[in-house]
Amino acid sequence: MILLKNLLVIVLLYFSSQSYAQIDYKVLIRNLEDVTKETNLHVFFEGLSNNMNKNEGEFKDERFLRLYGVVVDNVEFENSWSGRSLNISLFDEEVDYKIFKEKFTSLYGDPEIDDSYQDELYYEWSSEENRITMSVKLEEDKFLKFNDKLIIKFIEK
Amino acid sequence: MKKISIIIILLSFVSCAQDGNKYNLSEIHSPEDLSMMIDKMKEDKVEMDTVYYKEIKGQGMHYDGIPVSKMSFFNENGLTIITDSINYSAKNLLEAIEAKKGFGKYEENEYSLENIFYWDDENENLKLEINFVDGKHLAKMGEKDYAKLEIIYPKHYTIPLANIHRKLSNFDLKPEYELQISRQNCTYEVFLDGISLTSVVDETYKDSQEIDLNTFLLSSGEHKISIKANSYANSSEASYLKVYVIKKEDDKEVLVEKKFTFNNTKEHNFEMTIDCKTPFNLKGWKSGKDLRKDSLLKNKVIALYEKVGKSILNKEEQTISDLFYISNFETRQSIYNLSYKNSLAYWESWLETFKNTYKYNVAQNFTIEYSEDGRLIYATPIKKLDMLVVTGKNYSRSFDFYLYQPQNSNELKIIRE
Repeated sequence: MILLKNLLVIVLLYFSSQSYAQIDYKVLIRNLEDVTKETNLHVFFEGLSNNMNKNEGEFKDERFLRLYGVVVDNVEFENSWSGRSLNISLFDEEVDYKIFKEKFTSLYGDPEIDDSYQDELYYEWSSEENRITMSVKLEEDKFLKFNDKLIIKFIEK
Repeated sequence: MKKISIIIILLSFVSCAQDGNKYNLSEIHSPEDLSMMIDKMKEDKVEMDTVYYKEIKGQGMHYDGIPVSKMSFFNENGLTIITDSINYSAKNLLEAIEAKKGFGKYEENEYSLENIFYWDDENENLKLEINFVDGKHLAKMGEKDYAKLEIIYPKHYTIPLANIHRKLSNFDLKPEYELQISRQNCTYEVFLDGISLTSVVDETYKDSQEIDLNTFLLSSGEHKISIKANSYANSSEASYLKVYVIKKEDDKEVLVEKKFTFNNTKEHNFEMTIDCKTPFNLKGWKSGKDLRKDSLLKNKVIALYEKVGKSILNKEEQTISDLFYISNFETRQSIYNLSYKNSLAYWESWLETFKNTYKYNVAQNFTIEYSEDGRLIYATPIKKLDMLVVTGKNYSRSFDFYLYQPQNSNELKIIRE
């Protein structure tokens, strides 16, 4: 028992000399679905290095960006007379495409789908508060990649 | 006794484990540290490639426990470290640096797929490049991803002019005031509190410009902007000036928006007042003497420019630091430039001037413009472009200053460049 205790002390001493105070990354994750047209983005991204001013900005570090649990590449914000928009760059993962399609449909109902271009699908979900657009490139009717940024536009009343 | 033997055995075990991991590169924070580490490695007969550039591979190097496959350095002012491609080295190195220095500036190049983080401070500049092998992105880094860390140790100078950033205040709010002006068929001159900021004398000048006002705002309160304008004599079209005064903080606020239209050739004067709230309160030329009736003023102007020229020629570092300190301090405070890099670059520009100059010339024939209260002056040479020009082989630098004379002095001082 004493041997075990001594061993533990030495191992702890060894590791403490080699390590450093780690940052708790999980608590720093920002969920973009929490952003509304009123959100103060400086407060929203407080504690993280960002490039924001009052009317526009971007945040690029995907370690801290989620949209409905999906890791997204980066987000650009723009506030204009017609309202706020979030332009979100996505990673080209089919599973993400399916999650977004299901999530937005469950929240806002069936989307309007434009399939007039070959190998492309354009989705649009609308509600009183916002309009969401997403487009994908297909190959043999299967998801190939996102065609553009996912845009969430908050509508000014 | 039994207990002590066990501890000794375990300690020797730990020591053996550390032996293969004995050069912690995160302990290097200066060229001196780097030199010491290299000396230690040489003593230990660590293999080094020193033919073209200095390179050391593996052999017990790590960064806070993260295995390093290669370290290279061209001189003692910096080094490059490449981690091993095992055991989440890239992720661990990024997190180790963030734990010490906080979140760096992140740049993602979507074309080259480079993911680079920067941390800059006076003591070390770090550039960390993440290279994905089996990882996809920063939120999903792989076990085999590796990182390249470049560390540069900036030079340090003890001269006060190279260390102004240490004395500057950092304010929460940093309002910047700017005048935007565009013209048609006219010449004009802009004044802030009676100080001439710019003069557009003919059609060869550009038709619109932005003028920083902060540099000549000493403190909060009402400030007067005045513009003298003249229509072109031969123009049949109407002349106008469009003027905006913008306050930039988080947002842009238009303080003044005016269009002045005029069509005869007599001089027109336009005035406007802006209410500025500056977080700084600078002395500037506030307590300067009224120089309008100083009969020796021309000689004093020449003496000041001569002093600068001679100091450059004689490489008098301390004199240059004394001459330019207040002007540089106040200018940088007014535009919130707290960067140590700016101090370094400014001082190194002086070292460059010392090195390259072998003669100087001061204009002897010039006119003097006075601010409305006569406390601030600006000399404009006749038939020359600048008051002081220093030259050397393929080198030239010119100087013009705003000057004032403190109450307790008989000499002019530089207060803005």
